[in-house]
Amino acid sequence: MTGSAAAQDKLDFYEVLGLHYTADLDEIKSVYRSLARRYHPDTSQEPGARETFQRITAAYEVIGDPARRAEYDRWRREQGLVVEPPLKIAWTLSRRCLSLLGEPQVLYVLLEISTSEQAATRRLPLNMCLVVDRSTSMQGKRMDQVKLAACRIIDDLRPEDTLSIVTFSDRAEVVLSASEVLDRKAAKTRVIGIHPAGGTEILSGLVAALGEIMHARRSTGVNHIILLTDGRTYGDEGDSLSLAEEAGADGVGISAMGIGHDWNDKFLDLLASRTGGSSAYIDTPEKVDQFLAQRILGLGSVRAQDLRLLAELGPDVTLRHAFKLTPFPQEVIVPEGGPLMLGALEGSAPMSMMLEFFIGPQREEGFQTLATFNLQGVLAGQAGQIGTVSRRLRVEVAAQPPEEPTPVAIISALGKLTVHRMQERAYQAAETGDTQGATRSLETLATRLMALGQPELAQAALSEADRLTRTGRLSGEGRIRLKYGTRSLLGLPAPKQGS
Amino acid sequence: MIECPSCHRTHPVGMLFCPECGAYLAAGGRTTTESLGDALDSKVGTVPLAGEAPLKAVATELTLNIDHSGRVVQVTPAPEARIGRLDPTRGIYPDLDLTPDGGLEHGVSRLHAVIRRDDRGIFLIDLDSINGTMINGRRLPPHQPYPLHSGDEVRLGRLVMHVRFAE
Repeated sequence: MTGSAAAQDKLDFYEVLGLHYTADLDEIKSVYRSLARRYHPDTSQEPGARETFQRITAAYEVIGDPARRAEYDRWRREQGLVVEPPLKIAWTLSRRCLSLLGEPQVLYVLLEISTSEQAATRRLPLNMCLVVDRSTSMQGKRMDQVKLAACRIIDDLRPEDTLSIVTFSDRAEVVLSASEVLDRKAAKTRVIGIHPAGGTEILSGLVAALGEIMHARRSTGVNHIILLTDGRTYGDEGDSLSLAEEAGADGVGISAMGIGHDWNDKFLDLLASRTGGSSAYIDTPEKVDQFLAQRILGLGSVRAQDLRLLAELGPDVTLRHAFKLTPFPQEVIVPEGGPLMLGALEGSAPMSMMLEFFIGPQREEGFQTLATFNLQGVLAGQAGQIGTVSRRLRVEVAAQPPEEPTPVAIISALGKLTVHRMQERAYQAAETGDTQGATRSLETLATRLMALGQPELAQAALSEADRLTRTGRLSGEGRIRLKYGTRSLLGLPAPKQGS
Repeated sequence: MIECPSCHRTHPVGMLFCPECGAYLAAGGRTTTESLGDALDSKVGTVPLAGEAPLKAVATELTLNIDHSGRVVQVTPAPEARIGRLDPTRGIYPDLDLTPDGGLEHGVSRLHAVIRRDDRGIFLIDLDSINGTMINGRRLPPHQPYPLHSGDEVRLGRLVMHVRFAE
């Protein structure tokens, strides 16, 4: 009935209301209310207000009613009016209505990216390069565990996979090349023979690794570098980051894993972020195997990769901060003008991230486009085919915004993100020589961590504050523990939504 | 601009947590429940307990009509629904947050009471709240389930609400 009525009128109810067909009921209601106010025949001065009002009301009667909407959606699909995009963007806003204010305000957007691509029934072909730090400090347990893990990876390789292994100290060496035919036994013998000695020059390792990856680069499947290090590289950070950017542009991801607590977390974080990858902290060598196995499992379940999100911002709108919450909590670099590099959708869960927008003074009521999100990604199952989707983020501005509770998902994620960022503020203060400020921040952080039920992390923050007061310095271990500890809180699920 | 209730720094409107001290900004002002003293001084423990509840088809959903704010909320105890005030700083997420209804000023605790449903009926349990829970003017002893009926008047501290079961 609704279907045939729409067919006669040749009207798309979603178009009438200016909505995307995935809009949720709240969005539909709020858009309808605002349009109805504007075109109400009793009050409106707009030409053709009566007809417009009738059209929007007719549309709302259908798509504002879940049962009738379901029927209408079914009809649209049957008519071929719905083209399921391979990638989807959805969001939850900290508030649906902005205030008409002559000062800047903040809006949080919990963005969710998903794909209609089916999860691969079998693991995708992997082209990966293991880049192993073989500096002197790796000697002993650390290197033994890395070798063990590498041998296991060699054993588990399938015919369609390509593995290369590069080691680096003062220079790089290709232990296993992507171009050779795999002889498992010989490969393992070479891995066992890796001898730790020398310094840590990450750049040389990365250059060799990218060469190996590009040699065996494939359009279906996943191209990825896994970097394992326990130390700091000196002088080649800038070049390494440029190289990571190149890798990212070529659709090659980087996962960076730091063992122990003497590595440069900031650098590894930036390195991985450039490609949309992530960094991880391996506190004891025994966990190397587990971390690598998990990573490879994740890479094998990729459904869309090399995701890039370009946010075209409205006038006076700034994207201040972006942080990926799932599949891995990781800060996302917000480049000027360029896209956010988001990496891959792994497994069945959607990718979620928190965006913080600053919005300049508002001058009039009504709907405003804050941003247009253009997302593109390589669909893993389809021979490198690129999927795109575009959605506008529109919000209402009103002098008297309706009072509404903030969505629990936003509060929960943001509360934990704030704690993580407080930790960063404390370390920033310490780096600029503000010992007092840093101590105070660490103590406040400890209080918050206690309140969140994290006594061990709270204790770590307190001992750092204590160390800072006594010695004027912070420990590398405390920093890394707090950074990755507060970050891992972000991966925890949100509490269930209240009624 | 809004002011952080904890460290008193100012932040732009819409910010939800103070970046300096981590306090939840939307809470505004003080956040601890103060004893109202006179609130509920009627006798404790004069109410029948859970075992005596009548056997009937149990409603799955109820509505609470909150007098002060005029808000009508639906509550689905599955099997429990916690009522209180949201405090993300402490990780407290009640199923029903009474902050927008003036919960704080009316002496509602962060975790004030819980509505529980089982095959015998729907019960209200006070969680040892500072200012107490009342059904039809009778104060509930803490942690004891008390049967709730459609039409009952419930008071959490000084916040009054009327209960209606969905048919």
